[in-house]
Amino acid sequence: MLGQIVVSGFTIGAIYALIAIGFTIVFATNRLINFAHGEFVMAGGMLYAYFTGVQQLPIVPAFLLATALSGAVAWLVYQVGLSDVDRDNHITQVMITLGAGIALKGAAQVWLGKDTLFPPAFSGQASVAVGPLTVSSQALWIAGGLLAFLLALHGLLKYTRLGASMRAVSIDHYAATLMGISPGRAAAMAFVMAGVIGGAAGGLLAPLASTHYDNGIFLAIKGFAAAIVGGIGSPLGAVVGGLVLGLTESLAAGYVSSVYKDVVSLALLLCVLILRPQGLLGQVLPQKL
Amino acid sequence: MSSAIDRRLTLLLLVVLPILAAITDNNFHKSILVFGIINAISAVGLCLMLGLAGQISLGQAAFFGIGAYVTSNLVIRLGLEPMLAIVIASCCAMAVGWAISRPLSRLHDHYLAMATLAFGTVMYIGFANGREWTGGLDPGISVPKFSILGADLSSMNALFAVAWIVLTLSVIVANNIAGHRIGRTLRAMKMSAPAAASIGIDVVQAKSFVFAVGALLTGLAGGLYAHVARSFNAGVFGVGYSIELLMMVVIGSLNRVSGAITGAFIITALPILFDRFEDYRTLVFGVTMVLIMKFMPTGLVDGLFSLGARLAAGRRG
Repeated sequence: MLGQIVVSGFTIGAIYALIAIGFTIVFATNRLINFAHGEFVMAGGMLYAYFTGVQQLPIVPAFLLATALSGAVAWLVYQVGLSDVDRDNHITQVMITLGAGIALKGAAQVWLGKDTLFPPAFSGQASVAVGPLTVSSQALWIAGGLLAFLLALHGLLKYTRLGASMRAVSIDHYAATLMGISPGRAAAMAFVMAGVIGGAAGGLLAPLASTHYDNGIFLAIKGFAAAIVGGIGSPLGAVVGGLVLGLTESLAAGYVSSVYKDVVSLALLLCVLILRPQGLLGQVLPQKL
Repeated sequence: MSSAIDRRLTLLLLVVLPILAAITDNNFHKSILVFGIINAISAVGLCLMLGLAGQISLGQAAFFGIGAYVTSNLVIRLGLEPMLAIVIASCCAMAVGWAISRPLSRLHDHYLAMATLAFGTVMYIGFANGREWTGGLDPGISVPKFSILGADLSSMNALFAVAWIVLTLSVIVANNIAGHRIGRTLRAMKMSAPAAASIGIDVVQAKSFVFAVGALLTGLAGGLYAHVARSFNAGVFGVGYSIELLMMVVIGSLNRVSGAITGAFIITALPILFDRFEDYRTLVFGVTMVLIMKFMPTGLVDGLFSLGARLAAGRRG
């Protein structure tokens, strides 16, 4: 029982971690919380279902297309909505990303339909026995996806010029500008990466949990909770936060009540926000007045 | 907020509403007016929080729900006088608003928005699953006819009158808050919380004050909603309503009470205009919100006003 709960907790936790990474990258370079982020995840899931269902594409191209399109959508949100908004105008940023999220939800409703979709899993075999536990094959894909994205992200941030410029912008946006780095480009790239990783999370999750145009905001709250629990701004924090959140939720569903598992995880978010706003792995940044 | 123009516009709106109600004999249109007033009361509350004090809240639906469910339960279970039930319910909403704002007072902007969104979601899950008290999503809850001291006031005309009086009172409260010392305190806090604290303003107290007032007004609207709708389920109190309220303030004005009321009526009346395009509603909503925030960050009606003023000045000059 406990083993099975831990496995399902880590599965959903890996999805939360992928969503949280998107929040974290965008926060690091833009200093904003992207309220449209959940819709990128929703778009990934819905597009994957659309390409496999309506267009009858094989699984690999369908997944890649869905992921790429979510990245493109994220880029569009940044370019149309945020590229010329003042960095310090937080309320306007909240409203614009919120509005963009609502628009994406509406677009999915109009063009991809209002039905709950159940796209096919990545491999035909439904589940694998690992020792005494049964693990669904999709869970292994999710774990692999998280690992692959983490390695790719690490490589990109550490060893490429673009990654270096993004790190510079996240440390000091003004100084980076003086060194000839375009903060707008770093910010746009952060959105694209958030869109791609979020879209992939949506596509990976859809075969396990189905997909619907309306579940974006819910995934966003969970992903944000994971990012905050781990400490926003650090990708490793996002992973730790996601796994902690997934495990908490799964334990609550197993031992308390599956109805109130979301209440438990959101209560965890509120507790961390109140008691340790910098998160488990975050550092306190000095506040400039 | 609370400028002379704003007060005159608000007065104008409050005078026009009964005239509109008198000339429509269509009960559906009249009910839109009543729901418009209810939304306007909520929107005035959010306008105080966001426009005056700069405190964003994406959890207003929770206060609306507390108002509606506490009222319903008091009336159904204890047979309380409906108006008294509404007052008690809005006090409950106010207490919750005050209590939630204390721990959240360290947060601002993005974090506050997410935390209130999480609060709203938790409350929604509670409303949907606390079936013993709320009837959940199905079958929902049914409330007896509205009456005051035994006199049946359940006709649309009577409900309109009651809602209109409550709106008028809310507007008076909002204007008084905005025009007095506490209003200046809140405005100072909006501009810079540390600067406000440095001149001796108790920021935590100011924040919980404005949260409590916003929750009170929204709870009041929820109590009225319960008596006007009479039969409803938890679906009403989801995140969607919080976002719709935000839209009302954004469409109207972040700085004027009259704008919040106008925005509330525009959003409430939209279903009539979008009758055939119901599916496109969400899409249009979102795109409109982005465009307004980009080009008229103080609100659509506000933006059109200042545009008009600029054009008029240009012609004169």
